[in-house]
Amino acid sequence: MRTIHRRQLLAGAAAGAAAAALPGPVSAQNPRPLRVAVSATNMFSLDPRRSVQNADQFISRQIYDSLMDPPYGTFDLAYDKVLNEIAESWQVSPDARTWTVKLRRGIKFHRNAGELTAADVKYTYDSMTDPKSASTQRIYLSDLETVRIVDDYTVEFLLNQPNPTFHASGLISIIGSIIPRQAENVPFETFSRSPIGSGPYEFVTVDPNRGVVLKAFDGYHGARPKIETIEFRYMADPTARTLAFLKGDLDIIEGARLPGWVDQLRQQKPDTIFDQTRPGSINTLYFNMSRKPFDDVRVRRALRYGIDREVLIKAFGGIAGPSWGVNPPEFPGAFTEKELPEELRYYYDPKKARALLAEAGLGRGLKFEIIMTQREDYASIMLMVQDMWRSIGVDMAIRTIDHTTYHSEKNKNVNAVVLQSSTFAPVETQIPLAYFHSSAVVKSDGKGLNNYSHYGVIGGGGVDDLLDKAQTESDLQRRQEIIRQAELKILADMPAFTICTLSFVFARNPRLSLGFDVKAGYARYRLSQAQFTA
Amino acid sequence: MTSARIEPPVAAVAGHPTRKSPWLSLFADPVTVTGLVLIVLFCLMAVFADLLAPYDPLKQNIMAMSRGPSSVNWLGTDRFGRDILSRVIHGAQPSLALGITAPLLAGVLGTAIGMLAGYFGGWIDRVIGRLSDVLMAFPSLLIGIMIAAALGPGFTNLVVAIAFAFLPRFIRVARASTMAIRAEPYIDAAIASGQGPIRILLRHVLPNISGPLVVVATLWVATAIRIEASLSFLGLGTQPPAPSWGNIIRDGLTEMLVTPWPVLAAGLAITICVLAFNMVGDAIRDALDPETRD
Repeated sequence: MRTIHRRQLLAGAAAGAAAAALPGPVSAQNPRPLRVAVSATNMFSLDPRRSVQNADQFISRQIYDSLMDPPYGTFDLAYDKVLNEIAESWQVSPDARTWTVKLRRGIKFHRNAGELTAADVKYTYDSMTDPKSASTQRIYLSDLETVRIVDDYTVEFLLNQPNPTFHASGLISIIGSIIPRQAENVPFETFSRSPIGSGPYEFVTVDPNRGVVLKAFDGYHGARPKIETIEFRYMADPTARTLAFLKGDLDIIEGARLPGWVDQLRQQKPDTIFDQTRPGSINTLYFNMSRKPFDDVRVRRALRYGIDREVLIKAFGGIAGPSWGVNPPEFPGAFTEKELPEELRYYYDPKKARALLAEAGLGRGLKFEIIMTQREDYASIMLMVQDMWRSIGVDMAIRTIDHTTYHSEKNKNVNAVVLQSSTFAPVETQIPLAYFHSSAVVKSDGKGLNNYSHYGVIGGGGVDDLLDKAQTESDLQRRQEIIRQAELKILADMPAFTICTLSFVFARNPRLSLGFDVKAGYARYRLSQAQFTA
Repeated sequence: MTSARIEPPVAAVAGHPTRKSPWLSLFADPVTVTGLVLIVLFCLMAVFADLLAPYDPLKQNIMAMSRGPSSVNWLGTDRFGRDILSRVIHGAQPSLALGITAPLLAGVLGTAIGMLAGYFGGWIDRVIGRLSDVLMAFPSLLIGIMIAAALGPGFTNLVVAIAFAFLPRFIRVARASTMAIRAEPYIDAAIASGQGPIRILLRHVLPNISGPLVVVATLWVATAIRIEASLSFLGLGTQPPAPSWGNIIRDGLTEMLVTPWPVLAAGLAITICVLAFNMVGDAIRDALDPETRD
């Protein structure tokens, strides 16, 4: 027994000495691994078809190439701006129902899994739209009728209705990530923990200390990444991430979307680079119109007038922004402040709020309880809302629960007031359809969608028609016009409103350059052009 | 009634002319007195929180976020601009309310169950004994977390959770003490005189086992305060925006780099309060322990 112990000790010491002498995996070019901390407790799935958390998607974005993507660091979806990754070129039919994508030749999958061809693209999309696959991406592909292989390097996406922005919902980023068709025979669990893509980095291992380790893929069809190794750590606690970043252990951390976090970190480490997306997540506050007194439009307007959005935005210190209409100002065709009629701008007016409540018979105040997630961004917004409403005589008690439970509970129609944070591609139809169409209404059995107000089912006559009309309209200009009409109606009825937008923030080591500036997009970016500077 | 003549010898022992009351000896030790004074101060702070706190502990002020100590906010403000001093003062309420009610509830229930087990023995004792063994196998914080997570947060649920976690401790002490008393001749005498078990338990057993139970209760008050803080820290305890020492620390952690005052102040409050209860608990144990008394 003793000798084994000693041997183990010696081996450990030798390994320790070696590790101390050679910090991290070594390459002549770039000896230092890039270390990133994401906000999650652990890896769930690196299979983009079944991905649920952004932390995993950040990693997946390095492992997989997508058919196309907005130019890095932006969310620019203009046809002439979109960047091709796997696609060589693409075109849309005049009726916007057929999208033809030509693939680059010679793209290789990792681990000798062969060349990427049209069959892999078809396999990927078929497996996402297959109801049995339980893909989390299926809802975004509801208008995809079928994928047709024209030849080895050409595929056609045939849609069941015109969609001039199908690329935004179906061909970019995570959803456009192509998986080798050999994955067909690999169980989901195995593939999601040992993924194969065609991106600049290939998966090496996942271990409790180093997290997910990726290394540069030698056979990548584009420029070879400059950094050899990336380690993604899962660190759910924002304080732990911040401290490790300050110590210099991490090069990129997912920020805490808390009031004052950016300023506080900047004070501690003034040269930190903050990568911030605009608009980031859309934070929508819903009034559940199936409950009294929220069925009364006066109550909903009163609560809206009781929120001082400027204070809320100021508190977040530069990461929050307003949204005047349903769509935030960064989206095409969105309302600006001046374009809206005065009464639909809902400037903070506690007097008016109290008057409206009194008119609705609630002059003595209103009391209700909601459940709320502990996640810092949600909780911060709701605590501020609670305080503002308290001063107009509305007593909202909050019971906090963990984030996963919150999502499953709120989908069961239990809350009187619901806060939802989501990221959308800048396409004018997405938010109205997802949040205000009657077909998306929330259901008590949890099988409904994101219309937590019951708008369209209760009140909101005519909005469904406008949204349906917009969806079948192939002309983008006319589509925007219809959506704006719907937005005016929604603002007047006030079933829900965008309380603020909240940027995703990453703090970055000033010695690390990404190769582009982060201005917009999902809460993840590519690291293939990253390099350490002197 | 004949029972008056076979009263247990409690009163006789306590009132022994050559011995001072054990309770009086508590005040002889300066450490104990300090503890008592601190406990009284904390209780006053909790009761008169509204008068003592300089500000509304819930009122946010976005213009004064995460400030350090100043003449306006003695302990600074948190990230919503709320006054830390006011929050720490109000935070004493849930901590003390829970610290006292949970052991009290556990004490009443646990004593009753433990006395039944100790007095009747047999299968009642075996069932109760095994069940409390099962509960004892879990650390009280873990049981607290499990129950609070199952019932959801909230003051009543928290009291239930912590009381449940403490229950086996009281059952154990009450059972063992009752078994010792059960063997005394005066119990046999009481049975012989025709008294019912309930009356015997209340009049003859309970007064004689109350000493050790008081000690257990005092010591567990400190633990209850600690568990409340832990559960609030984990988000299972006092719900926002209401302050409790645990959730002040939890919120304060995220801004520790800028202002350590919320964490320090609430941490210090927990430490001092727990220490005070422990000091007094130890002193009571010493005073009531027959070994040290003589």
